[in-house]
Amino acid sequence: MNLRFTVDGVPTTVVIAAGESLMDVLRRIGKTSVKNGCDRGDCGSCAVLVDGRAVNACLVFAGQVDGTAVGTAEGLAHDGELHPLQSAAVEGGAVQCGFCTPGMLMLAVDLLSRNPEPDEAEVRSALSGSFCRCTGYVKPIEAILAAAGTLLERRS
Amino acid sequence: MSVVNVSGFIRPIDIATAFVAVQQGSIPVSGGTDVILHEPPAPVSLVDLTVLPLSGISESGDGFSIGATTTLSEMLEHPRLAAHADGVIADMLRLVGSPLLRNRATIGGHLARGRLSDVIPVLLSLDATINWYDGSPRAGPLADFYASQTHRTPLIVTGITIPPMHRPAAAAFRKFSRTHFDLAILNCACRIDIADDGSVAAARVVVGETPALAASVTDAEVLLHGRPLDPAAISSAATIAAAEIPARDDDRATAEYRRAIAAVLVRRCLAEIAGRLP
Ligand SMILES: Cc1cc2nc3c(=O)[nH]c(=O)nc-3n(C[C@H](O)[C@H](O)[C@H](O)COP(=O)(O)OP(=O)(O)OC[C@H]3O[C@@H](n4cnc5c(N)ncnc54)[C@H](O)[C@@H]3O)c2cc1C
Ligand code: FES
Ligand code: FES
Repeated sequence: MNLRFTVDGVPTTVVIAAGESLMDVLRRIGKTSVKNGCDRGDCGSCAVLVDGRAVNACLVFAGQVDGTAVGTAEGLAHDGELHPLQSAAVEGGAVQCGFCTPGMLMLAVDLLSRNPEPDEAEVRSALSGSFCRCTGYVKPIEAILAAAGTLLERRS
Repeated sequence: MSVVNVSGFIRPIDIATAFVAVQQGSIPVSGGTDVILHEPPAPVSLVDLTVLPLSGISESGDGFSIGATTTLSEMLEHPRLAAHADGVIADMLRLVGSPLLRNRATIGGHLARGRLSDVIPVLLSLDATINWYDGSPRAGPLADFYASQTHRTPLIVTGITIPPMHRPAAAAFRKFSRTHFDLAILNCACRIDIADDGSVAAARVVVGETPALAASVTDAEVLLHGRPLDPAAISSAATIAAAEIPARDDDRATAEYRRAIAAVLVRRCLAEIAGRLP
């Protein structure tokens, strides 16, 4: 069957199998920032945005996202300039092996779109279900809070 | 997790079309978070229910009506629903999986699945009714829907209704699990309505993951009825719950362990309720 959707703003048509997961389809078309950590909804490394909400791409049938806008970490940078969440992650030491980073970025985009000024507790609860085996979470949390500050400054 | 044994993907034009497909053996899919984890033994088609107009939350004198394809996050983010019944629905939803899961999982898919649930005990304790379609629109108490095994017959869940609370009343929920992300080893939801004379006018003591599907502990509810919700009543209800739940061993806990936990969770829920009541 055909799947028509936009991926990182680009209208895309792909032939998919009816039972294929969104994660497998995205990786197949080259969006390998979408990581397969567990393939069962436990780790969050496959998180992408579907119409603005972060979901586990491994738990979504690709056929169901027909007509939606899907966002991956690969769509965050513009004209060679990193998104504030990406810069904050790099500058704040929130990336070690980096396997969890794309998923966490998408969670953070969803969080900040609904709650531009989260406190630490809100960032922590947003990150639950997103596993990082390297950083111990402190640096990613600090990076998201720092990026929230940058985004607010830019808006004002 | 891609599912191999899928032969077709149906986008139904209306609920009647969707139901016919389900009747013929196709699998209804809402969020798909559960369907996608199970490989069917033989090729089947999927019916995407999210294309039907079944999403949304509205409030009227009858309480909250929640469409089947409403996500758990949408429920959590609805300020009035989240505040309902002392915030018990919101407290519980925050313990269901992760935000990523809740952004996708729907209330209809959750209730149709009818197992491994933190949501069902709370909805049972609030006397929710469920709406479904099996050729005609139907509605009935959620408790009956499971007790009569209706949820195992071909149907499409269309929504739920959570009735208003008749104050003074209070509700509480407890989940016992390794981490809150894990499925519960046992969970408990209680609701108490108080009469003018200060005695209990209605009691709900629901225990889930016994590991059978959540159900009322009727003897505990009868015991609480018509007397004040004092420490003696709470303690007796907890003892009855421990004895009466249909506890069994499984890979998460033994029956004996579950009975011990049941007494604690029932006591904690009822004590929290007693503390909230005037
Ligand atoms: C990683 C993970 C963690 C989880 N943690 C928890 C937890 O802590 N607590 C908890 O309670 N649950 C937990 N769950 C279960 C989760 O809540 C359910 O998977 C989810 O609610 C199902 O909703 P869905 O819309 O995705 O259902 P689907 O996967 O779409 O469907 C579920 C079942 O219902 C059928 N169905 C779907 N919609 C309908 C309908 N409208 N009418 C009739 N049948 C229908 C499907 O055929 C299927 O059998 C967890 C699940 C995962 C994957
Ligand atoms: S790969 Fe999807 S949650 Fe782990
Ligand atoms: S940086 Fe390695 S898993 Fe998070």
